[in-house]
This record gives sequence, structure tokens and C-alpha cells, in this order.
Amino acid sequence: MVNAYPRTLKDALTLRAEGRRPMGGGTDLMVRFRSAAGVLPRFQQSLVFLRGVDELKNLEERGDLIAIGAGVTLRELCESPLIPVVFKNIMGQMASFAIRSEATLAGNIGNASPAADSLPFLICRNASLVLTGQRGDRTVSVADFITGPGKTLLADDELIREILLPREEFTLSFHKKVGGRRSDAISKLSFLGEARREGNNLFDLRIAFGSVAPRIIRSEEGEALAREVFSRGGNTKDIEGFYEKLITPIDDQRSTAEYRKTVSLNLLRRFMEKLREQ
Amino acid sequence: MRKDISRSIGKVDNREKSSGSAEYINDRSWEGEVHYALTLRSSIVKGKIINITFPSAREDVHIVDYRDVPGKNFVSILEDDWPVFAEDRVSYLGEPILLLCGPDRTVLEEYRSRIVVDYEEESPFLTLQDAVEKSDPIVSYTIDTGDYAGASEKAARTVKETFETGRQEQVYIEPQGVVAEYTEEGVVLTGSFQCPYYVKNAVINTLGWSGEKVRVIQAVTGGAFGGKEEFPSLISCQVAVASVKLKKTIKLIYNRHEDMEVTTKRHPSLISYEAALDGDNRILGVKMDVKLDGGATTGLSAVVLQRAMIASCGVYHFPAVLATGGVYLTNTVPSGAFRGFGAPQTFFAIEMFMNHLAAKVGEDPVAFKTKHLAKKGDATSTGGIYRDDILMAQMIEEVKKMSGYAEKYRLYSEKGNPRGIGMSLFLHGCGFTGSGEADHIKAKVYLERDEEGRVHILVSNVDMGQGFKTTMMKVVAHSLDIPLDQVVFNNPDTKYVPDSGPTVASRSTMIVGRLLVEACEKLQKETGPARVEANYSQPDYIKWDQDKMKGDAYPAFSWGVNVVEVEVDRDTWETTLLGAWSVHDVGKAIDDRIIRGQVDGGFLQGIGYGLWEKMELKEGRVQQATVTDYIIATASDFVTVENKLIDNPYALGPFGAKGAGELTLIGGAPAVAAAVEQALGAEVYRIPLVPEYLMELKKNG
Repeated sequence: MVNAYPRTLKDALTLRAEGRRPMGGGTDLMVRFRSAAGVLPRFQQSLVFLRGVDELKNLEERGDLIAIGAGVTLRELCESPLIPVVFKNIMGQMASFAIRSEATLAGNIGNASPAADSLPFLICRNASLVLTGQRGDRTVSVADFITGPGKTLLADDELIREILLPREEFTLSFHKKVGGRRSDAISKLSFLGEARREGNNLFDLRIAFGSVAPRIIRSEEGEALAREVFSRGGNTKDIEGFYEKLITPIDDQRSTAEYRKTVSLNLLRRFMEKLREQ
Repeated sequence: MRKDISRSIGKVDNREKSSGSAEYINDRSWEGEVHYALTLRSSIVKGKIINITFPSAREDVHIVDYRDVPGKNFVSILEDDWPVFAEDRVSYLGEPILLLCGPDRTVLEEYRSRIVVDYEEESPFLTLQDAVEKSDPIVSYTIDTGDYAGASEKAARTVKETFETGRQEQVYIEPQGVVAEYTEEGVVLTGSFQCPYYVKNAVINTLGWSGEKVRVIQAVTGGAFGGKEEFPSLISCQVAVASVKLKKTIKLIYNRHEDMEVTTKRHPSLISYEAALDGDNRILGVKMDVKLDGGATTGLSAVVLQRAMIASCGVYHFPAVLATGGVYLTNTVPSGAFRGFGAPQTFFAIEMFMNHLAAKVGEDPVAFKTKHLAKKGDATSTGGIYRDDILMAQMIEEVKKMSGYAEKYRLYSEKGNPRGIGMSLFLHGCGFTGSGEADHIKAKVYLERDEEGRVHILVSNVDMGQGFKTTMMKVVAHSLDIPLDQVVFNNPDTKYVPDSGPTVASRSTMIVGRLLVEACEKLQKETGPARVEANYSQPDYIKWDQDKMKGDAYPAFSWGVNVVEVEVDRDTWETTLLGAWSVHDVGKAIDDRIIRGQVDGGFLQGIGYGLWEKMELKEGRVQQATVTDYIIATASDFVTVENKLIDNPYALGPFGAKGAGELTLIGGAPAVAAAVEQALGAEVYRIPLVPEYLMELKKNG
């Protein structure tokens, strides 16, 4: 049962320390624990509902960072001038308008699904999280925070307080979500490639794959290889060969492992082609 | 002066639907104590029930099973093979065994989770292929018109192809639900129904009661698509038994997941075609065979098979037709009624086959199809006669103009082009097959004028979102030349309405609407309060031999042409719709916008059937059992349809109207499949054309 509705972060942390599970918009949890028609969801532990905590609703620039409070919804992010367009487009393809109006970015991270659509972007951009507990705050990168499907570093008495997104410029951002339909779909796979190229100089290149392994795939070694291949005008096949080993998808009700792998590599190739054409 | 009836008016249910005030079955409140029902289901695919161990008895949990059925423990459909409650054996995963009833659903859920059923498992048929190899069909038919053997002998060449289609889920707005009230007069069933009298007759059979003690009322129904044709009879029988046993109001509401796992789907099919062509590439005859997967029970499968076979010639006239077909039972969720009722499977196959034949003989597909079009006076597949004007040639020209078909087709034929455009031609026979209307349905309508001069429509057909109320109210208002607000059409209640038949088979407007026109003529001869009735009689010229599948299968046909334009992404193999055009002949639209609603919804549901809607079973379990995983399109996946209606009034339809409910779905899959073929540069033989399949198809050449 949801029976804790704190108004302050302090109260929320006290309730959290009692062993309650945090709930943001509830758009994942309400579905996961759904029951027969007309029966309340069967949560396995008590919840603390964070919607009423105004301290978690901050959204502002902070030096080189954009700070996004854990209570900010996807819709609010999509409507904010602070958020990079590529990320707005990614979030705009998540679920439906109604769900985006309830769901929080922190919830999408905390749920730690390998198919979470915000993660490839946040990991590509080296975003980090401020975790807060009664013992104080700590900062951890999103990449480190998620340790496996549904598994995170969040301690039993901690909450995600905010997401810190570095402000960066790229000359190319190529994102593709592949789902069963254009909206209201869970990704079969997703790809994000970003680069900063000025003339023949490639200053930055980042690549992330979603939904094709237990965790989001991002590899410094792969990115270094991609930069190197780009500089010498080499064959993209080498990069594909590298990532092929990291991409370990599954067959499920939404797609096949073969499809996920093949299309992921096709999109990587398309990204490298776009980079060349730039 | 009377206005053209086709001019659109606001649907009479617009306000309650758009404001949210419409009360669907789960929104209603009931007097007195309500007991909820939860279903205990088979957790295996096939086997004997050896023992059921219950947790210790509780006062607030009541068990209702087959032993409580006072009458017959079968849902009365065509064959007595669909148990209301499983007795000693189960034949599919999720088959209902018993109901748990009580005031608290959480208690029921908890109790259900502790029931242990011991089974002795048996080896099942999990696929149609499996059943075809190892069993005989439970029903089979042959259509033999002309002389196919002779045609084949004379032929310069014969070509054979086989096609495969998958399941489709209706995804109506609200899941299945029914409430049974126990009263002094008997049992009252209220629910989301297409066919109140099917429910009534099934409950009479199961309770063994007389008709006057069973009353059925249709709740607001938000879409059905065939899914609420026969399935509601099953759950209505269950709650009726529970209500009578416990003398309580029993409410059974499925959640979406349960609904998608255990309710009826469109029949999967395997269809083969062989064509005999002469030296000028004209088809002398076709031989076709349809195999349908009926799931675990016969249900309506025999009638679905008839439709699938009668559609064997598509919109064409072939001098010889030899069609065979069979329904096979598998240990899977029962197949059942679904908009199109066997025709979408066949039309996918025949339209693709015609495209492929055209390619083989080096002709343009539309030109090849056009020269085989059936014309007025030609024989139908079953040796009946096309009695009315067929405007297909004109409709094809029209859709070509609207879509720029010829130019695009030429452009997209260039190798490596990622785009494609496809055209499908289709028809749908209106009303029940053969003599069904006269022999089985015998529709009766009442029209009643009350003391205030208002006219009440008393029929058992339902509005399920398609606009039937508005349509019939317009028919009556125009016939009597009275304002629409003088016409009353409440949801059917069998206590007041006669049996005008089920809301199925593209029959309601054409057959029931026509009877209402007749009733209006009678009412005009009466003054003051009066009740008149009209009864269906079959036109004398309609002759049908069910055993031989010979004669006029339908009194009238509605016709359509679809064009779909797509682009296939060569990296992701996703298909994007670029355009959709249609031209339909539904006789005469009673309301243009209501038909437009049928066109938009039907076309998209047909495209979805061809492109996205994949439902596969693994070890008998539905894999895509949520709306998250089962891909029906969203608005952002579709395009705006450009549609044109061609008037071709049918003499026996109200104001010339024919059926329109199913027609609009049928051409979607073959049109989009043809477009995808062109974009892909590869022939397709099965649907849905999900990206995984397109990738595989291209990879394997």
C-alpha cells in the first residue's frame, strides 16, 4: 500500500529509512504489481510516495551542469528550455503523453531496466546522480549506479535527490529508438551516437546501445577505435566487429536476439556514415 | 423537403462517450451485496484433472464449478464442445475450471493462489501444422464450381503458392465483463455484448430454465470486433450459474492481461492456391485449400471456414473453382469471431497470389487483376449470380487518381528503391451466409409509438461504437419524416426487444435497417400509440445448398479498393506508412461520417493485421498478452486516409444501404503487403510483416 505521503525531504528520508520503496510517478510500479481487475496492486513492500516533496522539483542550471530534481516529470523536461533537444526527442518517444506527465526521470533511472530509454543518453553524457540519505549526500555516475537489470547502488535508506547533466555541445547527435510502434512502445533496441567534429578534427565521439545487454553498452575502447577508424578513413566493419562482442541481446516477446544485434550494428554504421558526411 | 440521408449528423452517443459519462460494465453500481468472481484456470495445456486441493474453507469464498450447472455444461454455439466449466479434463492453457465468488476480491485472489490442481498431462497439438499432420479436421467443406480438372488439363501452365496468416486480437476498449443479478423473476445478465439473444439462449441452455426467467441487457459496449460475439455467452453462463447457486449478484470483470490470454482470437490459417492459366495468361480456374486453426473448441469455426472458402475467388470471376477447407483443433486459446470472419485470411492470400501471378507472366498487377474482375451476371465462387452492378473498374480508376498509383508504382519499381505502393481489391458478402438469415436468425423488429408520439426502436442489435443507434434513428426519422429527437433507441433489453439477430456479419444496417423501414411503413398506417412488427423473409431468388456449398451465399456484396504507400528502412526493417487511399461501395451511406469511422478504423485494423499485430504462442501460452507487447498502432503510426464512397444503392437495403462493418478491414493487409513487397523487392507469403520477418526474408533471399 502507498500510505506515506511526505511533504518534505526530511520526512521522506525518515520514511525511506523504515524500509519503504520510493515511488515517483508510479508508472512502472503500478504496472509491475498490478492485480486482478478492481484489486489494488500487490506491492511487496510499503512505499513512500515522493510527489508531494517540493524540494525534489528543482530544475536549474548550476555552473556547467543542469540539475534535475528527482520529482521532475518527463513532460516537464520535454517542455524546459534547459534540456538539450536530442534528449527531449528521446523522452518524447517514451510511453505516451499521459504517462510522461506522471513519470519522473529519476524513476526511469531507479527502475534500472536495460530498456530504459533515458539511460543511453545519460550515460553518453556522463550524467551523475546525487543520492541522499540520513548520513548525507554522495554523487555517483549513472553508468556506475546501474549494476544490472533492476539493480542499482541505491542504499536501503537513500533516495535519488537529483540528476546532474553536464552542459555540452555536439555537432552530431544520432538517436534511434526501435520499438514495435512510434509511441507507447518499449524499445526492442536503441542507439545513440554523438560527436563533435570541426572540419577534419573529431574532438569527441560517444556511442551507446540500449536494450541489447544487461546494462547499457558504452565503451571507451570502442569509442577510441571509432575515432581512430574515422581519422584514417578506415572501414566501419572494424568498429562493428568490436561492438558485436559487447552486444548480447535476448529473444523475447518483443523481438529476437538476431534482429536486435543486426539492427544495432546497422545503426552504428549509419552513424559513422553520417559523421563522414558531416 | 427531406435532406440527403447520407449527410452527417453528430452521433447520438457522442456526448456520453467524449465526456466520460458513459458507464461501461465495470463503472456501474448495483443494488445490494455484490459478490465478485475470479476464475481458476488450467495451468497446463492438455490433460486430466486428477485432484483439486483447496485451502481451508472460508465463509467469504464460494466455489462454483461444473457440478453446480443445473442444465447443460456447454456453451450453446454450434457444437456442444465448449464447457462452461472444465469437468475432468482441460484442453488449453487458461481454460476455466471454476469460479471463486465473494465480497472481497483481494481475499479471492489470495485464496486462488493457494489452490493446487493436480493434472495428468497429455501430449498436445500446439500448432496448426502439428494438428494437420496428426489429426483430421473436425469440419470440412468443398466448393466445386465449373470443372477445375478440365481447366487444369487445358492449361498452358499452373502456378501454386501457399500463404500463412497469424492470430489477431480484437483489443476492444473495455475487457470482457458481465454481471448476473438474482431476482424473484429470474436471473438478469448485464454486460458488454454484441448479441444479447446469443447470451440469453446460452444461459437458458446452461440453467435449463425457461426463457422468461432469463433477461439480458446490453451495457455500453466500447468496441467488440467479433470478440463479444460468442465469448460473452461463456462468462454469462458462468455467472448465471454462480448467481443462481449463491442467490447473489455476481460480477465478473476481466483485466486486460487475462482478457488477452484467454478470449477468442482470429483464426490462424494456412492457405494454398493453384491457378491454371491459358496461353494468353488468363486464369481458367483456381484450386484453393484453407486450413484454419480453431483452437481448443469448435465455436464458430465452421462458419468462419465457410466465409474463408466462399471468398476463394476474391473479386474475380474464374470459370472453375475447386475449394477445399478444414478446421483443425489445437490445444490453444479458442479462435473465434473477428471482423471479417475468415475473409481477411483469404483476401490476403488471393490478392498476393494475383500479384505474384502477374509478376510471373510479366503483366502489371492491376491490369492483370482488372481483366479478371467479376461483372454483373457472372457466377460467384459458389455458382450463385452477381445480380447487382459491380463498379470495381470505376473504383480502381478513382483510387489511382487519388493516390497517384501508376506514377508511383513505376517510380518505385526501380531496383533498390525503399518505397513501395500496393493495391488490394476486395468485397464482403453482407448478412449471414446462405440461408442463415431465413433458417436460423428469422429476424423480427418492433417499432412502437407512445402516447407522446415518440417512436421506440425495439431491436436486439447493439451500438458498440460503430454508430448503429444513430444510423437506425436516422433510418426511422427519415422514413417517418419526423425529427430525430422523436426517435428513441435504448440499449437492448430482452425483456422488451424481439430477437432481430446478432450484431454481426455486416447484417445489422442492411437487414435490420430494412425491417425498420418496413415497420415504418406499417406504423404510418396507424394513428396514435401503436406497435408494429416486421419479420425477415428471404428474397425468393436466393437459393443455397449448405451441404454442397452451392448457390447464392449472400444477397448482396459490398466492395472496396485500398492503396497503401510505404517506406521500408533498410537498417531497421521497419515499415513506415506514407499514404492510404480507399474507395468503397457500401450501397448508400446512411451517414457519411459514420462510414468514415468504419473506414479509418477498419483500414488501420487491416493494416495492423498485415504489418504489426503479432501474437505468438509458446508452449500454448500467449506471448504478447499486454497492450504493451501486442502492437496495435497508435495515431502516430497511421496516416490520414483519403476515402471516397461510390453510391450503388441496393434495392433491398434501407435507402440502398449495404453492409460496411467488416468490409473496411479486409483490404488493409494485402494492400500493405503488396507495398512492402515492392519496397523490399521480395515476395511475401505470410503476415504480419514485422521487421524481424522482413530482415530474415531479405537475408535468406
